[in-house]
Amino acid sequence: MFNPAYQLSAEELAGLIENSPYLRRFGYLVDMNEEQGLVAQLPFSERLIGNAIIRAIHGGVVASFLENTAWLEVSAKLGENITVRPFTTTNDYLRPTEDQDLFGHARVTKWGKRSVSVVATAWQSDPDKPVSQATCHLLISKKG
Amino acid sequence: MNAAQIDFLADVKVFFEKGLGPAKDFAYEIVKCDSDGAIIDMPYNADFATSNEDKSMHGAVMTTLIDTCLGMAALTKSESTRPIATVDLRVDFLQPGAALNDVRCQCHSYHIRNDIAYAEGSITDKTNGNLLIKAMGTFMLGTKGPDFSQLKAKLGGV
Repeated sequence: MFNPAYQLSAEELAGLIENSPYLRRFGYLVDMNEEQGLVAQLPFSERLIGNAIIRAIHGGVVASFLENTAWLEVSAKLGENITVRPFTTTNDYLRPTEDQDLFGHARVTKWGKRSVSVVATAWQSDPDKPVSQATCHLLISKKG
Repeated sequence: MNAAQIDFLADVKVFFEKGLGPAKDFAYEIVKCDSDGAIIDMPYNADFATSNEDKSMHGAVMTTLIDTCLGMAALTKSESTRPIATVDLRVDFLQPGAALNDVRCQCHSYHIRNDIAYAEGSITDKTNGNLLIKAMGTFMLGTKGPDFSQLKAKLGGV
């Protein structure tokens, strides 16, 4: 399968995050490593809590995180001149979350001319025990 | 509505207003919350814009809002304060919201069986009525953890 190399470095992705008030406010981080490729991180804060009794992260926050992980992966592979916009996402919640950071990585399952399909996975303490998984479909277009 | 039902709705409201981090952050306003469904209004906030160029609110903010509202609809339909968890959430992004415009999220649960609640809903632009998001959610009722009604004591009531 067509699998382009990353066009953006971790530093350039940090710039992309800096340019988005939403991602900046939530403190999104990215790491690039040879083994897993791009790994996104959402640092835990009280504002992410969805259930104050069991201290689980809000399901909508997890869904947003996966959507953004997919967006970062596709943006990193296609570079700065392409606009990437999610249009449909489906989330499966697999395990309960805890009051810890969320980590995520995404894998493109189809590169199309107009759209890209991605499977994104989120975990907390153990990458082999994902808390949630999403299928995201994103529209891609040239900027401007 | 009898006293027990009113009490139940008050418990749900406390949970969603005080027990949720995003509710404070995004300034959710619960307009309606009963067994017919839930309505939450959310004001525009430039802090959650998509990018420095695109001032419309980020799609992820909408995902969080509709998940909250679907859960609230599922909970009120179940008429129980047992905890719930999202099993599946599907979100269709029909169009981005206009910058500066507030949005309204409207959800209802149409079926509950075997402790599974099914809900659907939408987000519209409050100014021009444009449909922005459609979503469907599936929720498991009676998941692990203490009852929501305990929150009132813990969080200090309404």
